Amino acid sequence: MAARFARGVAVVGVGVTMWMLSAWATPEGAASGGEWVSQESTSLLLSADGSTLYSANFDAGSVSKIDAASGERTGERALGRDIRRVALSADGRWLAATDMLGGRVYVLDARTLEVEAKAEVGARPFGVVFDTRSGLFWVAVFEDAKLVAIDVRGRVRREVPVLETPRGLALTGDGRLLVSHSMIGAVSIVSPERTFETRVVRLAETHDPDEFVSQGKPRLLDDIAISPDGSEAWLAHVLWNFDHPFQFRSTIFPAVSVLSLEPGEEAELVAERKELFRQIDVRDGASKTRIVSNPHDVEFSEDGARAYLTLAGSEDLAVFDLARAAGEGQERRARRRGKLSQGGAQVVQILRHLPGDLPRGLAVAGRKLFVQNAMSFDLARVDTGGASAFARARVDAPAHAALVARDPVEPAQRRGKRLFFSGNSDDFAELPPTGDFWMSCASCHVDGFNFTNRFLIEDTKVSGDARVVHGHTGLATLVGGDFRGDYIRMIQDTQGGFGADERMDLPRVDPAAPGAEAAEMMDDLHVYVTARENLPFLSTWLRVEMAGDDDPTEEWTSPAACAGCHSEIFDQWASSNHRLMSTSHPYYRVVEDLAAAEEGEGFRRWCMGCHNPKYVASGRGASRGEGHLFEPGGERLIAAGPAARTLDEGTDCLFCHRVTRVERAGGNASLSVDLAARPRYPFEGHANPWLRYIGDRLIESRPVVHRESYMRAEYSDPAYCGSCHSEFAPGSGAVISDTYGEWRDSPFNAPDDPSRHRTCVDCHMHADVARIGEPIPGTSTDGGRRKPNVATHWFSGGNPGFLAARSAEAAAQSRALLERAAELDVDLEGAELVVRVRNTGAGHALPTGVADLRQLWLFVRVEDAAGRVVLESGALGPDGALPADARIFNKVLGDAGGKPVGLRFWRFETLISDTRIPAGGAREERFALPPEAQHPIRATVELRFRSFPQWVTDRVRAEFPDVPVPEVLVLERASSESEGAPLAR
Amino acid sequence: MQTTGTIESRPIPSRSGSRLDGVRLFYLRSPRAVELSVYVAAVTGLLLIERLGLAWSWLGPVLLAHVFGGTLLLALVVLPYVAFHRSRLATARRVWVARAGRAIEIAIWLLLGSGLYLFFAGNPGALPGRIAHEIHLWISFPLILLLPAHMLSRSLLAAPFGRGARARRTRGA
Repeated sequence: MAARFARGVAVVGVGVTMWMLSAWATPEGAASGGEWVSQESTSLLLSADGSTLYSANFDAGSVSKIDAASGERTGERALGRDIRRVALSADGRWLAATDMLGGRVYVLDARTLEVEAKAEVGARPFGVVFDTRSGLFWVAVFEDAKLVAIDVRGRVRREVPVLETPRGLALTGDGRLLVSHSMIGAVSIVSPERTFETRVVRLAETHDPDEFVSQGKPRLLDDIAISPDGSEAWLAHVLWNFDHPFQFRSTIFPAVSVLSLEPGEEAELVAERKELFRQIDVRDGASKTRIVSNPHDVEFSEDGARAYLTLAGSEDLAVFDLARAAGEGQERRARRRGKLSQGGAQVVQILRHLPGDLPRGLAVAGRKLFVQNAMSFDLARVDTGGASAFARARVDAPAHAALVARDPVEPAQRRGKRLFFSGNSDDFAELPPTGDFWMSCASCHVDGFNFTNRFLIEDTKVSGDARVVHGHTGLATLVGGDFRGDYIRMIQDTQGGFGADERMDLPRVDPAAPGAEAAEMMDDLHVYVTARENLPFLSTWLRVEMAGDDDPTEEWTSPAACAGCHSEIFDQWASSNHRLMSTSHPYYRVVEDLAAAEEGEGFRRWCMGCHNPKYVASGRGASRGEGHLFEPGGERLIAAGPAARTLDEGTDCLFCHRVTRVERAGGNASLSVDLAARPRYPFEGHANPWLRYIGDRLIESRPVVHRESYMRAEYSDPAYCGSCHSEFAPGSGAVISDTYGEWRDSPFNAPDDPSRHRTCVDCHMHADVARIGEPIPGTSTDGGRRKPNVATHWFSGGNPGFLAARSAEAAAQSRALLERAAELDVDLEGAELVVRVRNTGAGHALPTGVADLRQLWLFVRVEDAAGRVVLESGALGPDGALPADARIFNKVLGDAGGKPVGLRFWRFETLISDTRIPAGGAREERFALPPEAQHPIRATVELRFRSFPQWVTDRVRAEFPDVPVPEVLVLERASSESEGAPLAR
Repeated sequence: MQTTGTIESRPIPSRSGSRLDGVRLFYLRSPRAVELSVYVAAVTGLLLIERLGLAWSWLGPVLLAHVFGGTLLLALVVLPYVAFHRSRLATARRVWVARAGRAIEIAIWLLLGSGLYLFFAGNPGALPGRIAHEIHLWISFPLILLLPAHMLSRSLLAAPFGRGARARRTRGA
C-alpha cells in the first residue's frame, strides 16, 4: 500500500516537474522552438498565414481585424485614446496594442479581440514587438525613455532605461533588439542575451554651405525595417536643418538611413542614405524633382528586391529598386566611366498620390501591398507589379477596407488634424497649406504639442548667433489674439502655403482678411491645436483635468482646508511669493495687462499659466481682484474658512500637489494637473461643518491615501520646478529664461556626488539657508512624523521685496539665500581695480528668471590718500535709476529689429547682451584708476541687488501709486588697499 | 486546551422581574449578534490594511463603515453585552473560558480606546498615533481568534466548522 502510494506520488511529482519545465522552456505565447523571429513594430500587421490584417487605428482608439483577401472588417475593439502599434505573439493567440495617450498596453485575444489584460507602462508607449524566445512583449515608452517587457497576462516583467525618445522597435533573426530614438537620431542595439549591453549607432548629421542641399540632423525616427536577408535595417526619418532662419525649402528634408546589421559591427552606411535630389529624385513631366515629405514606414518586398516607403506628408508611395543598385563589378565599371551613382538603391517610382489621407502603415503580401491611412481610416491595396525591373506599382483597390465603423473624432477637429498633418498640396488645390509638398506642421511638431517641443528648442541652438528664434516669426499677436491671422502667417512663412510659394502661382492669402474658406480652415486647425491633448489654453502649456463642468471653482479646495493639519507649511506658503504673485502683485499685473493689450486677451494665459493657473483652468479672464500684497499668514483665507470656494491667486496646495505629469516641453507651465481623479475621503471638504469634521477625522485616521494622492516623488525633481521656471515665447520659441536648464548644466547637478548635488528643493525649500547641505529635521503635518529633513514652503529666492511686510522670517531667508550666492575678490593690479564676482552659491545663472529685469551690479568707490573719491561706479542717481555705465550682470533682450524689448519680453528675438554669471562661474570687471590718485588708495566694492529697476517701478507706480520702491540689497562687500607704491601705468 | 464544547455556567434565566433584567436578558440571549458585530468591525478594518491595496472606490466607504459601523455596533451591541455578561465569567466552570472572556473584554476596550484615539487625534505619523494604530491592528487578531473559542458551540463559526458540523456531515454520509 505504502509502495503504491509512494509510486503514485513519484509519478505525479515527475509529471508536475515536467509540466513546470516545459512551461519555463516555452512561455505562454512563445514559439515552441524557442527561436527568434525577425519582426518590426508596426501599425498594420499581417498574420503569419497572410489571411488577416490587424490595424492599430490611431486616434480612433481601436484595433481592427481585417480579412486580407476580401477587405471585410471582421472585428473592431475600442480600447483607448490613441492606439499606435500592434504585435502578435508567436502562436498568433495574443495581440498587444500600445495606447500612446492612455499610457497603456492592451493584450487582446487575437481571435476575438477581447481585452485579456492591461498594463500601465508609462508616458507614451509606442513601438511593440513580441520576443518569441522569452514570450514577452517589448514596448518602447517614448516619453519615459525606457523599454518595458510585459507578459501576455499584462504583468510588467522588466523595465530597462534607454536613451531618450525610444519609438520604433525591431527584432533581428538572431535576437538583437533594435530601438530607434526618434528625437536624437540614434539607434540602440540591445544584445540578444538581454543583458542590456547596448551598442548605440548615432546617425550622421550633415552640413552643407548651400542651405538648399539636403542636410541636417536625423529626427522623427520611427519604425525600423529589416531586409529579408537580415543584413540591413532601413529607417525613414526627416532631416532638421535648423541652423538658419526657417524656410520651407531648406529646413526639412525627407531621408531614409541604412544600417549595416553585421553582428557587433552595426553602423550606419552613411553613403547609402536616401536623400531628396539624390536617391529620391524622380522627375515630373516638367523635369522637376517631385518633392515628397514626412517619410514614415518602410517595407521590403518578400524577395528583398524592392522597398516601399510611405510618405505621410505628401501622401505618396516611393518605390526603391534594390536590384538595380550597383554591385561591386558594376561600381568599378561605372567609376571608370565616371558615372558612379552614389547611395545604392534609388527611388524608381513615386506613386502620386495614394488614395486616402495620411498613409502610414504598410504590409506586404506577395505582389500586394496594403497601405493604411491613419486619417481616413481605410486601407488601400497596391499591386506592386512583381519583381520585374520594369514593374510599376499601381493602386489596385483604393478603398480595399474600412478600418473603423465610426471615427470618434468630431469632424471639425478631424479636418483641423488633417491640415496639421498633411503636406499634400493637391489636397487643398485653391488653398494649399504647404508649398510644393514640402512639409506639414507635423514635420516639426511630432504628434502635436508635447514634450518633443524641447528638442525643437535644443536643435536650434546656434552658438555665437544673437538670433534666438526657433520657430515662427512675424506673428501679429503670437496667436494669443488673432489666431487665424497668425496661423496663416505661420503657414505662409514656414511652409510656403496659402500662396506664399510663388512657384505655385496661387493668390497669396491676406492674413488680416483671409476670406471665408481660409478662415474656416483655420478655425478647424484651431480646434485641433486646442484639443485636450495639445494646448487647450493655447498660449500656456498647462493642462487641467476637472471633475465638474458647471462651476470649476468648486474644484479648488481652499488652502485653508489644508491648514488644519499642515499649519506651519500653510503659514510659510501663505506669505510666500508662490501665493501672492498675480492678482495682488502690482508688477505682475502691469505686465499681464500689457501682454493682453499688445497681443490680445488670450495672450494673458501665457502669463497666467504659471502665475494664476486656477483662473485659467476656471475660465476666468484677467488677474483682477482685491490685492492683499501685505497680508501676513493668509489671514483672508483663514477667515473665509476651509470650505470657501473663492479662487485665490497664485499656485496653492492643490495646484502643486495635484500635478500628475510633468511634460518636459521647455517650460511655459508644461504640466498636467488632475483634480478629477483625486481620491476624496467621505465628507472631505464638505460644506456642512459637522460632516467636514468627520471627513477630516477620516483623513487623519488613515492618511495614507491622502498622502499618496498629494505627494509624488517627481515633486522633488528639478524638472518639476522647471516646468514654470523656464519660459519660451509662444510662436518664436525664443528661450526667455531657462533656470532649469542653467541648473541642469551646472556643477550643482551632480547626482553621483551627494556632497555637491543640490536641487531646487535643497536650497529654495531649506529650513535654514545658512545650513544648506545639512538636513534639518522637522514635521510637515501637525502631530506628524518627524522627518529627517523637512521641506519648508517659503520658496526663498530672488524677490524678497514684498516679503518683509508679510513675514520677517521669509524675508530673512530670501536675503540670506541671495547673500550666499556670490563672492567678491577685489585686487588692485597696477593702474586697474580688478573685481571678480564668483557665483558660488546659486545653482543657476546669477541673476536668473527675469534676468532682463533683475539688477545685480557692482558699486565701486575708490578713495585716495587725501580722502578724495577718485572713482565711483554703480551709485544710484537721484531718481533711483542705475547709471548706464554701471557694471551690471544681466541679460538684455532684443526684438526682431535688435532693439531692447523692455517689458515686452515675449517679443524677444535677438540677444543684445548676456553678462550673467553662470553657476560655478565668474566674471571679471576692470576699472581704470585715475593717474592723479594719491597713494595709498582704498577701494570698496559692493555687489548690489534690486528686484526691479527704477524705470519698471515708475511704470508700475503710475498705476499702483502705493507700491514701495524695491530696496537695494548689498549681497557682498570687499575692499582692497594699495601699499603706497605709485600706480604703474 | 479545549476549544470546543458547551458553556457550563449558570443558565440564562428565562424570566425576570425588572426592566433592566429584561434588557439584560435581551442582550444575553444574542451573543451571536455580538460576535457578528465584532466580525463586521474586524473585516472592514482588515480591508483597510495598506498591503491589500483595495481600490479607493471601495476604500472610502469601507473606512466610513468601519468607523461608524464599528462605533455603533460597539455602543449598541457589544459593550452592553460585555457589561451584562461580565458577572457570568466569574461563575464559568471552565477556567479557559473565563480567562478568554476576560481577555476578550480587555481587547475590546483596547480596540475602543485606540479607535477613538485614531478617529479624534488621528495617525498623521507621530508616535502616539502610530502606537494607537498598532494596538488597533494587532489586538484585533487575537480578538477574532479568541471570540469563537470563547463562545464554543454558540459561535457563528461553530455551525460550518465546529463539532456540530462534523456531526451533521457524518449524519449526511
